[in-house]
Amino acid sequence: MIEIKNLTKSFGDLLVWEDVSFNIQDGETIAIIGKSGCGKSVLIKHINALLVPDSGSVLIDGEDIHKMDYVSKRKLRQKFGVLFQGSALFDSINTFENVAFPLRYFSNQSEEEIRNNVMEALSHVNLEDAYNKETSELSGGMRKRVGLARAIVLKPNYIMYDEPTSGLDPQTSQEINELIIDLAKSLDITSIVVTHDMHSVLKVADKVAFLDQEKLSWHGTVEEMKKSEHKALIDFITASEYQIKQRVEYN
Amino acid sequence: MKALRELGNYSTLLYQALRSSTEFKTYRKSFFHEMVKIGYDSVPIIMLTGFFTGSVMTIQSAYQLESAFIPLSTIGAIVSESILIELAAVISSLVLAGKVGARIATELGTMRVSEQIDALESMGFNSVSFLVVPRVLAGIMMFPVLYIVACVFGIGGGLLAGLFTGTVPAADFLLGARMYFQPWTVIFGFVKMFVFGFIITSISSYKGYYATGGAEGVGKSTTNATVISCMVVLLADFLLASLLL
Amino acid sequence: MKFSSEIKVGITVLLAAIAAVIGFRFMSDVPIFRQTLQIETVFDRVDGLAVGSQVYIKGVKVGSVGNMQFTETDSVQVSMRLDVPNSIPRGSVALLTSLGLIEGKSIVIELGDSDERVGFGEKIEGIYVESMMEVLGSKGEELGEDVSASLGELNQFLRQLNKTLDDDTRVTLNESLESTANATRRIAGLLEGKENEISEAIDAASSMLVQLDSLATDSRPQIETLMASIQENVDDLENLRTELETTTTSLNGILQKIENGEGTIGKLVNDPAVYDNIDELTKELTKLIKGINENPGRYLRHMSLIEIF
Repeated sequence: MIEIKNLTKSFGDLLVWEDVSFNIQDGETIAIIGKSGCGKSVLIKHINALLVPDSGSVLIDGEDIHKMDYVSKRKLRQKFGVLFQGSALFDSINTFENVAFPLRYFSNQSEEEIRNNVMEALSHVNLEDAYNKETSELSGGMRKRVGLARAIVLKPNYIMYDEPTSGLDPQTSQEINELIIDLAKSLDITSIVVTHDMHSVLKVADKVAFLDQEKLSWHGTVEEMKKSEHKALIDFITASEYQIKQRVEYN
Repeated sequence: MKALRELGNYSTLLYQALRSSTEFKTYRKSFFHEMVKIGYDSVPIIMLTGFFTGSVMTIQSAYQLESAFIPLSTIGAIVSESILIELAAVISSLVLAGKVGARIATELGTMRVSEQIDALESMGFNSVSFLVVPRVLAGIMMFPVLYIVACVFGIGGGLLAGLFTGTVPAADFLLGARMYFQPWTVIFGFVKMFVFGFIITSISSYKGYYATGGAEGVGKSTTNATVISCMVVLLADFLLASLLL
Repeated sequence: MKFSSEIKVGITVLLAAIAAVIGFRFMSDVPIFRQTLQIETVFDRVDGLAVGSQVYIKGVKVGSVGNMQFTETDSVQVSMRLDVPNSIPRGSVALLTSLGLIEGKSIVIELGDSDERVGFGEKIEGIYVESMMEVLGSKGEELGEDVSASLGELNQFLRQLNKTLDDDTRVTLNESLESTANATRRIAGLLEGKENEISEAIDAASSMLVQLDSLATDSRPQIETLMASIQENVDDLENLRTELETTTTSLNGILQKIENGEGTIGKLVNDPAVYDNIDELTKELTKLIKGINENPGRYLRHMSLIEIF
């Protein structure tokens, strides 16, 4: 379980958000939504301590990650798989090596075991055939999937998606959304999805956290969200024609 | 204020690098890779730089010292001494600030803005040990090696230029070069290159590691890395000369 | 063929290390692959000697000076690296000397005549030789005064000589020569009856011209100024000739007297002793100028020394 308590962050004089608190239960999928630039990505970087908050704490199974020394912090980070917005693949090595990268350094597995693990991770994202492709040959959707394979290869307890569907066509977005659901089920993993794509949220999420006006404006389950009277939230989720239609249907 | 903060960040990065330099397993592979990139791959350009520095020195000194009262061996002495004590180290370093420094800053800058550094960190890597340490170590190890290359080709270039333009016979050149040769000069050159190697690789790593703002930011970091490296190299050259000579 | 990073790095470092060792030995003037003989020597002082200074045996460069350090007795121990095939005999002596006036110091080893050879690291005797400049330096002031005093005198002498040559003697000489030649010419034209005397006069004049010629080559500068004044005088002569033209009649009268052996010119024509006197004068002059010309070094050297001091 991840407990986020009274987290406040600012860059210089610019306040990102303050006093953010919510819990993430094991096994659930939570979507963090909000406008671009409201600090969603910054928030998840606090969860695995890539960034340090001004105040507040993040407890992972009861331990405050920000109070740990660097070595245990790094150990704990390995419980998190992260899919970055631009996939963040290492462009000097090919697909297989990208996925094998953390294994080579953090496990004492033989070449055979590494190979098996990498191919298993690639099969989760349906990319077994592309294992020897160079990073530059991959399309945007494939890059996301390779990034995802790399994120799950160390068998993490948590996986964080930073804008998993941004920059992808609707069909590929749909595939990624299905992957998120698949992985959550098959690996019994806790997922944290940062997105502003409401379609994605409605499809994959169990819970929603809404960041607005420098604070956590609303959080609850998707069902609760659909019935919510929170004005900013309604404005946000009904910003597109399609979602207006959906909302009408729900009502 | 900004400069002070930069200096603070730079020192912090160096401290982290120093602290994580014990994790040899993490950076062993990239350390050798960097030694190839900084050392082996720079040999041709250093040969070229050294050779032309030497030959231009010879031709120009011969032109300026065109007098019956100055023995030709003086030219050999001037050329070889200047190359050993100053030019081989400084000119090579300025060239390498462009070649090696810019590459490091661009590489790390791109990794930073494309979140590859975050990715490394989130996988549990010590990104400083993985990216900065091998580069700085390779720099301080390979720069002195390149100094040797620059010296050999500089003095050789000077000798050949004197020979082929007919201004300084090889025997006179060597007589002068040997007469004023002091082992300390070479040691001083090594010390310089060691320091310059550290300066260029660490500043470029710092600039790249903390790059922000997309492709433009990477470009800016690269420019800054090269310019600041060059300036600090010249400053360090001055300091070393006044401290050690 | 693809090399791994480690091999590439290894090759680079190895080659550089080899280049450094060879280059270092090359620049230190030590044979690159051969062992050298190292011997020591002790001097009272080593002014001007530097690490890398050269060592000669019989004018052949055989090595260079390694390091120098003080001994307990406050003299300086100098080690040399020599590249000689068969060492050097015991009893050899190292002289610390300078080969040129302004060059640095070198060590010259005078070989001994023993059959035994000096071994590695052994010591030979060293002697510090005062160089010319040092001798000059210590005696310089004294010497300088002497030299400048004698040069002062010399200058005065030269000035006087010049003055004498320029003003008095030269003009007098010119005048007498010219009037002589002139008179000779005139006389030759006019004295048809006196062929013997004329031919004598011509002989004398031609020998005189030979003298003048050698004089001219010996002392061109002086002659050149001489010629300038002769040119002037020739111009004068031109006037003189016209005057003479008008006074031919009166000359005729005078010549009548000369024919009779009356007056100085009559004596000049009839008495060869006068020619001899002129001849001798010319010779003396030639000798003097020759002397100055041939031996200017003496004076000029002092002159240049004056500039050095």
